[in-house]
Amino acid sequence: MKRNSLLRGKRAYKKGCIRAAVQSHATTILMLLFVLLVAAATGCSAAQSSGGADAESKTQAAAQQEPSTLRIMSAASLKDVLQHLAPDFEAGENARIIFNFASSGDLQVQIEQGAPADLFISAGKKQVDTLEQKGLLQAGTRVDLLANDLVVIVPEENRAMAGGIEDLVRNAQIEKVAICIPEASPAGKYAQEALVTAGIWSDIQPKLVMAKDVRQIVTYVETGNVDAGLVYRSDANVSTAARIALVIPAEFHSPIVYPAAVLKNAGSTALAARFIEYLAEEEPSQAFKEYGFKVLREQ
Amino acid sequence: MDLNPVWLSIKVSLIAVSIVFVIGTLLAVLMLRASFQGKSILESLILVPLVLPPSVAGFLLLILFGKHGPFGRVLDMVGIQVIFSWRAAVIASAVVALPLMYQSVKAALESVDPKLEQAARTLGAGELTLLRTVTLPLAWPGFISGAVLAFARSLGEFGATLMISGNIPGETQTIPLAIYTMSQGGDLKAAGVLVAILLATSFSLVLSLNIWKKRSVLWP
Amino acid sequence: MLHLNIAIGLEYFTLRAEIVIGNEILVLLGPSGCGKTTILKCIAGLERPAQGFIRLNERTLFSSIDAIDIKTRFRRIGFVFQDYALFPHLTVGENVSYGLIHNRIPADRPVDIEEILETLKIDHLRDRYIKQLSGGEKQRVALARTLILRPELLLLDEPLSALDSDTRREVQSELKELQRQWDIPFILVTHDREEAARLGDASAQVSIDDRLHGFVHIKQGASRVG
Repeated sequence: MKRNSLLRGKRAYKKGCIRAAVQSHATTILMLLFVLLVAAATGCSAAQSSGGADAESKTQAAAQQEPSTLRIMSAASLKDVLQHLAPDFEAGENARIIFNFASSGDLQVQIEQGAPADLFISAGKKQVDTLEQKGLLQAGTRVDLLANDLVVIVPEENRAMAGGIEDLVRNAQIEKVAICIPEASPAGKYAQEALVTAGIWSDIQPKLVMAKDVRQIVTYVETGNVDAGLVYRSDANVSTAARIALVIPAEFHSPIVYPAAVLKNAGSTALAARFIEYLAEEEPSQAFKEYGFKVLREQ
Repeated sequence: MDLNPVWLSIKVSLIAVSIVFVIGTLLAVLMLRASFQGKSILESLILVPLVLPPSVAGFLLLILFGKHGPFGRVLDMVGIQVIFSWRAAVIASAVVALPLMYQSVKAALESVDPKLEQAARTLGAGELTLLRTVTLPLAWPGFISGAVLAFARSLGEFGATLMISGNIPGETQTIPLAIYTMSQGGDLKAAGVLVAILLATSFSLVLSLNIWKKRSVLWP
Repeated sequence: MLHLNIAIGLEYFTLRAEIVIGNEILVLLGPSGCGKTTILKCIAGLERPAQGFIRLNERTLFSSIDAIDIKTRFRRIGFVFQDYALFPHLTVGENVSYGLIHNRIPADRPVDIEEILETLKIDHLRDRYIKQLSGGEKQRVALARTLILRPELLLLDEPLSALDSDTRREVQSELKELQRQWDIPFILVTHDREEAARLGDASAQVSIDDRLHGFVHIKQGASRVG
């Protein structure tokens, strides 16, 4: 009897040992898994942004050339369409594009502080004007690429905005209206201009809510947290749960224009210039229109 | 110079800290005294705001307290609106301050020698009595620490607040939001004043806390 | 009278203990880590045995068969901890009167606090804080704190290990005298053989044999050591 209990004890002891070993190494195992996960994730996203180039460079073994790098600093509102167009350009030019999407204001500051980049595409004139004044652009490369419209979006089910922009104040069912922070983003500034021109700026103050960027406004509208939001048409296009209730006439605000320019310290000047030309071609122009932009250089 | 953001920040942070003081203490006591499954999971949930990017935190809060969110709908029925009101700012501050309060209180409670509590039990004290007469009197410095840290952290809350409070001047534009708005808009002087106020306040809070910790002789 | 027979599952072995003692001093002798303190804690209700029973003066404090497990605060057992566990935020007087004020079941005839302070020769220390006391003084405060409640049993976990040899001898005689006065069982844990010899009316060895079982077995009136 005593021997049996001893054996049982030994087995339990071994099981306990294994469990103890796993437990004591659990932290290490989890950390390793975590590191692997992060590595895999970064590997995947890196492959995504420069996928085309890698595949192409393999089939162009004969050319035996390293893909040249193009660094583009672009306004966040162009992220979807530019990422859509990138593989095509990368394949055609044996290039690898590295994007930096952020608000135009942040990008301007980064460029002023010497961040390495070849091309700057802004959502507003102010930022490019400032860089031009500071001599940070290559002369003669500045071009107005695109234009955009300011629109009022509402949740899908809403029947509001029938009476034009004044509906924002007159319609009691519209309780909250979202715009971007005017001081902080061009989208906000345009919205403010439009509301001032329409004569409803002071009346709309109690209903006004200010968001950090346009994507947030779209989220607010989609989730029903605000009843109307002023965003770019290109952003409204992306959303499925919000619809465009009103396109604000262009006279109500300064022209919403997207200028682009090659930077003074560009490493790949020729490539940058070629990208600007590429964007005027037929396929990219078509893509821009689908995404809700207006193309300014029809060929 | 519009100092509304300062009063707003103080009001929001004081309310947030009061909430967090109670909840943090309850959670710490629960963790240490009660036994139940899933303690690690609960603790991770409490601490996650420490490592969560503010935009993620803001997004989660928007979903929870938004018009169609679980909490938002319930509160709506009682007529309380959270999103785009000062309550949103309070909630955002409370969420990021809670881990600090919780950890301070938990550490303070754990630092009390368990033998003292055992002794109290042998002397006939019930659990609440021993909490009141032995544990808390010995642990209260940790509570103060936690509250001060929580307050300082609340003052600086930005990312999540920006997402759910609407940045409405005078109502939800706390100091960090005002600094952001002003500096982005080019009014660097006004932004600088607020930065100085925020920095000075947070710094002196943390400094006084450290000095008090070093100097305090709690009993001879 | 204390009568217990318990099995305690410790980290590496099972400890079995059977103790029957009257109003005398039982010394538990053994090396560190063999479970002596655990036995005390089980008697006090601070830990729970795996099985068995503990009866004190006709009250069943613990019985695994009958599913009885009286909470510590109702057991009427005094415990002097190894480093005395005196409350640092209270004065000597407040420490001693703690049980009086906060006891769930007040003692039938509580001892007058002045009397107990005098008996243990610490009345002049009443308003001092614990930090200001010597080892011997702390020990007396710890004793006063428990005895004021007239416990039915006193447990002492290595009470003299922190004292220097002179104080030790003095306190040893005082403890013996105290036990005679109070006429309740004392169970004292120590690793010092000489101390066991000097103090114990009866002693029990806690040892671990090859088959990983520890035994404590003492019956009333067993061999007097000394």
